[in-house]
Amino acid sequence: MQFTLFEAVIWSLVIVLAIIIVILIFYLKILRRNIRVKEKNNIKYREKIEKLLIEYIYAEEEGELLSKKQKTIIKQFKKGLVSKRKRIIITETFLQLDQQVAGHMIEQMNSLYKKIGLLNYAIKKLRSKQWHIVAIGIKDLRHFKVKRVRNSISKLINHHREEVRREAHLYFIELFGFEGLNFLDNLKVPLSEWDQILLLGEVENFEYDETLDLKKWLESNNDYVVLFVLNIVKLFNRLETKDTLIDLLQHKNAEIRIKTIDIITHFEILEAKEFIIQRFSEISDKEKVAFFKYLEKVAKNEDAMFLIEHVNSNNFEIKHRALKILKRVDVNLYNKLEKNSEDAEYNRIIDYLDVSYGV
Amino acid sequence: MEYDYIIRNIVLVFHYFFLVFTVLIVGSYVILAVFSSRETIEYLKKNSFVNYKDLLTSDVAPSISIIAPAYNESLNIVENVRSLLSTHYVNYDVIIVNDGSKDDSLEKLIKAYDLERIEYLINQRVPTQPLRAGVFKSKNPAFEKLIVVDKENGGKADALNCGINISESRYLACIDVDCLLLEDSLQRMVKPFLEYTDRKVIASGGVIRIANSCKIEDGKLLEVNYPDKWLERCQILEYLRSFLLGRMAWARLNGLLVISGAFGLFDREIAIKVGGYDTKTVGEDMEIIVRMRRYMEEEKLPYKVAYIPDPLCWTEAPDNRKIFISQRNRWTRGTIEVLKIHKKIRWNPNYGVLGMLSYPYWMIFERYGPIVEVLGMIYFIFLIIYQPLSWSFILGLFLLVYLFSLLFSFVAIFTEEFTYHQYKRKGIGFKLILTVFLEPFILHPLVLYAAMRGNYDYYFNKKKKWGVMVRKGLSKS
Repeated sequence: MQFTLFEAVIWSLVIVLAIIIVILIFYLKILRRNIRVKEKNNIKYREKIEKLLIEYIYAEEEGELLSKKQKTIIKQFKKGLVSKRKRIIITETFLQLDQQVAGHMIEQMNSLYKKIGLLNYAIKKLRSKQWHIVAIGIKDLRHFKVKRVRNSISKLINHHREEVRREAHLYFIELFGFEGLNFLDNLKVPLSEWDQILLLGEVENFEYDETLDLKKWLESNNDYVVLFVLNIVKLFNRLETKDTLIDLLQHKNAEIRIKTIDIITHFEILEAKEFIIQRFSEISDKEKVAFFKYLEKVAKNEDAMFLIEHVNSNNFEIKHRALKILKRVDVNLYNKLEKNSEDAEYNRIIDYLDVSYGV
Repeated sequence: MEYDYIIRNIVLVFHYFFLVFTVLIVGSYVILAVFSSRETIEYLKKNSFVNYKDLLTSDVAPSISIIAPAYNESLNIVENVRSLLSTHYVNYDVIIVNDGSKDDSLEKLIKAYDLERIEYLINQRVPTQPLRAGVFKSKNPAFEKLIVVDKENGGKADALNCGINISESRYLACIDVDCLLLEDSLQRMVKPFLEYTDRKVIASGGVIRIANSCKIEDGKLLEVNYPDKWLERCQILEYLRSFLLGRMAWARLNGLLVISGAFGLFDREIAIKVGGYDTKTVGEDMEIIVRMRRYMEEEKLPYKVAYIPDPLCWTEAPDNRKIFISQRNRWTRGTIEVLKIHKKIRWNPNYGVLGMLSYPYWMIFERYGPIVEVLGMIYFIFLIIYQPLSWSFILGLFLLVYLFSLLFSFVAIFTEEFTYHQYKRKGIGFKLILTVFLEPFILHPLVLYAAMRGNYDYYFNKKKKWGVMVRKGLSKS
């Protein structure tokens, strides 16, 4: 049988693909078996490590630097560190257990972490060319409270990968408390909302520090720093920043202005009211809505005329809030309003406030 | 003589057309596989050390509304809502929109969740059908996150729009009420929105996994099983290919054109700005993404449609041919409608990747692909009958196409094994391999048939809309 060139090419490709597929079938079988075996072995090894760790913690003998049992356990750990898989399991188990123990036990675990050499591995990770290894390294060092690598990590706060710098920022805050916030002085890159949530999660654990100067960060050139610190201002009720907050109402970044109105609402700072009313026509719709939320808290009878001006706003939310606040601060004036307008939205709001909304 | 010459030339034109089309489609699959693997590796690296728990207690975590339209879901509505309410997130609410159900869905919800009618001022930003019984909230503080809206029937898109009007959250998670969400799904889905500082993430889509035969209790996925029915097995493979390879690659290119209607997270502000879901198309999930992207392109705002490959959302797939064909028929009509609505962006460089890559890809390979395939088959039969083709050529070509499709399925399975390895049980590997070999004969002909029927219905049966999806309920699996 003679093949044309075209047929020969087709059959050659068929043979190549068939061979590849046969190989893939066998590989898939092996891979699935390996995954199963690996998972089983990992579980077993993890259990062993947990047991060893607990034994180590309780094998401490008074007066001795290290008991005989502890020395044996250290040897066993060191043996495991040669394998990358085992090293990962040991580190993970350390991290997991570290969150479950307290007091002296944490110290013991941290010292064991250093003794078996895991610390060196973590420090080595900082020099890796792969960004995610660097990030994991910082995370390990953060969890085991290794302060002596501070200088190396400070070089990473403006790293081009957000994951690396995020870990670096967390390292400083978790290990150095409010002092750690100083990394904000040198921050030239953005702090995403995700970053801010994680950082605030750490900041929340701090003891209130009156000496902390937040003002310098509220005046930072990095808008992300300002946004982040505004959250801290709110979190710790730092009302002494009031003047700076009022200045921030004129910030060039709209997001900062809106956030500032939110903080001012939280503190119910009355001085901001006139300031915003004066430039009300210049601000964005989002700021206007934020301002009306503020007015819901601070508006008084004297604001009735301002509210009247906005009961026919094109923005539903502003219109609703203006009417709602007006009803609260000056019900007589509210009652004098037309109850039937050509604006269906207006009628619905009035109906809602009069019939269903119990003020 | 001249007649023969014309026929030969026509045959030649067809010949090269099919050749070029085949090369393009094979090439695009290879390229997508490469992009997908790069994106998957990047995603796994990025998220291997992320602690999502921080988001659970944060005061500044953004608010999310889960919007789930329900139409005649009485059978499972109570369990499904319970599953949605057990989501682990700090700042969310669940809005169930009962879209004019004719059954006792509302009564069951009222009874199960101790609901009472409340006055609710709705900002009608997107027009919808009017309310029927109104808005309900629970008297029981344990269900304070639940809002049930009962409205006149207007279809899925209309119900979602009603949910959008009710919501006051920053993000909207639009889902099918019968979907099972993993507890940390919102945390994972919202992450891209919070991560980017150089562009706005307007939507994020998740992988949809098939829950048929899985063990589910109290709205929680306990065990992932591989079903016995071939139709379900083949759909699992198809979903793996589509979600782990296709969409992952498009996410890498920032060219994702569709987020599954079963589970997607949207920026509420942008969704409202573009007017919410289009109630006139059956492809509303694709349409809203195209419109949101179009809006961002026209406003020249940097943006991204993100994609999360984690298996977060599990749903029931059709287990019989009739329902399957009806579903795919609708998908085809949806694609045609959306491409038609937005034809302005086709090959339009002003729309960047959207106009020059995503849209043309969908048009050529998703819209016209099945038609070209059927034409190719007819052409091939014509050649067999009228041209002296050797059987070795026919067999060789058939095997080549078949083996290539197997190869692509294997790539999808390997991606799954290396990443999430959901089908752990011994013996499933063999079943997966068997599915790879049989899927081109079991599922593909149905897909092709449904696509052709979809084309026919689109042009000649305009009255056809959604079709019925009969659900058995995940808890009964």
